[in-house]
Amino acid sequence: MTRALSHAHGRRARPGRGTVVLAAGLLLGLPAATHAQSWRIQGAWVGNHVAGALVGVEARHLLGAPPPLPGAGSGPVAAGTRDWMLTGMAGAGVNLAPAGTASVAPIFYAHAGVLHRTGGDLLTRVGVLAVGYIRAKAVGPELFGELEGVADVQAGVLHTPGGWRAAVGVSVALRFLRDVLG
Amino acid sequence: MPDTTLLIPGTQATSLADQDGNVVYNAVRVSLGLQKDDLGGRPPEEWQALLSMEHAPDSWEPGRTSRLPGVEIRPASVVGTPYDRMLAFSDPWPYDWRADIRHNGRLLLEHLRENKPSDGRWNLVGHSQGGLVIVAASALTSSLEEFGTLVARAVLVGAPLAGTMRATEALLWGSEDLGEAHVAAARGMARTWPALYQMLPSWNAVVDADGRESAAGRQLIHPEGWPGSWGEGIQADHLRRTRELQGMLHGPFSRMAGVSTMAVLGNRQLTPVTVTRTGDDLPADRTSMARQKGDTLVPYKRTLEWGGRPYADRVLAFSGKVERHAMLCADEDVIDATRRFLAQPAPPPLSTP
Repeated sequence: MTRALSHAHGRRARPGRGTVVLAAGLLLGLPAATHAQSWRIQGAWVGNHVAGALVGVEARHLLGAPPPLPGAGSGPVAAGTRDWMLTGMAGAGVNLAPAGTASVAPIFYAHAGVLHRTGGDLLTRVGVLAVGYIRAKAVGPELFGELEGVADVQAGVLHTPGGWRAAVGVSVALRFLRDVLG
Repeated sequence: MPDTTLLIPGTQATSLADQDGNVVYNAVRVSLGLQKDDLGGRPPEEWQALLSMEHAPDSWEPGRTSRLPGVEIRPASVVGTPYDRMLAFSDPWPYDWRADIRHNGRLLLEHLRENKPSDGRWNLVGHSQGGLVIVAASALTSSLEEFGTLVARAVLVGAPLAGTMRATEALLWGSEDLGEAHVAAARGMARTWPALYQMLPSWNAVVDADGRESAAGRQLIHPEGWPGSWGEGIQADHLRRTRELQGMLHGPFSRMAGVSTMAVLGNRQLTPVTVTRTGDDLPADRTSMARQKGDTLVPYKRTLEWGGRPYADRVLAFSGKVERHAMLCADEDVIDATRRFLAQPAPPPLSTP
């Protein structure tokens, strides 16, 4: 990626040590504070600027008051579900350079956003994310859709050093892959 | 050492391997359509024998874990897909979900005894059949106090304490998990699995055309309930195991003195509760099944009634958009409730007199 940006702008990109530390902090800090988490592998494509694969941890935080837990003599406690949730993900991987070059460089990814359960029986979630490929300086909004809690698709437009670019990401829970691959 | 959490998964959620460690059944792979190397890469005509079991009467332990000569089937690893997020704070306990639930209860109890955290107790989370294994383990303790010395907290998620019509379906008509062409083989192997019989409904689930409960002799937990060719492969010994286990599951927290307990149930999706039998024949398909609210496998009201009052006092019943039975442990609200419950102080174990 560093070399790819150098081609694009005629200067060497800074390593972005601060953003690396931020991504690492998110990666380590998210799981403890949230309600659910999963490790995921993600493939991404942003115009001809970012294309690569990364591994990260996604964590979710439910919005709203949690239902009371049952206690002695309470009888069954009826609870609805909290259908809005925050999501955060941090990950790292490799970024392939734009078409026609052979560079491979590390990439760091983070997103934050809000998701909503649709109530389908296939664990469907939809949402809006703020996405950043941190070292590659590609940031912007994406729509999010999830199926069965194991696979999701993100699509939107990201601002890159070369301008606004269409972006698509596909991520799969690592445990699902492990189950399928045996 | 803080209390350690163990996740006991549901039916089919432990992959099964042969004696050489080759996985022969992985429910996630099978649900995506059979691949060439599933079921050990063996030809379809061997599948039924491969996954069929044999039990000597009165023995909880399987005599043979496969009817295929020279093959022994063992529990391997727990699939991650339904439990991904639960496994972030728990360790899986794989078991052979086909076997007598009391056999697995005994194995779990041995595990709890032999590996007890040095200065803490266990937390147990049991999903579906895993919840029944926990109850069976508590019932097999040597004293009223023992389970509480081993376990601090127990959470049963979607545990079919009163049974489930899904067991009826698998035994009566056969599952389509192995493909439509192999329903008969699936039914044949299922009829050798004690655990499936043990999850037959405890209520009178066979009704007449007017919806009235049929006599006991027409219910499927009795050998007379399987007339003529319908009873081919049905084992009277396994039906007896069913009645024995059901007694154990009635009042499921009664042997958990000194343990903080909670049951999580879904109360949203339509869940089958009865099947209509007219005349001497059993119904040929699923169309006559009536439904009530539940989690698609565990009917809510029937389970509450079977569990009894102390159990009902510990039930957290989710409606809203809670996930279906198989994915309950992937539901963010269920996970959150479980984590919050496990973080609460537990009562001290009862002291031995």
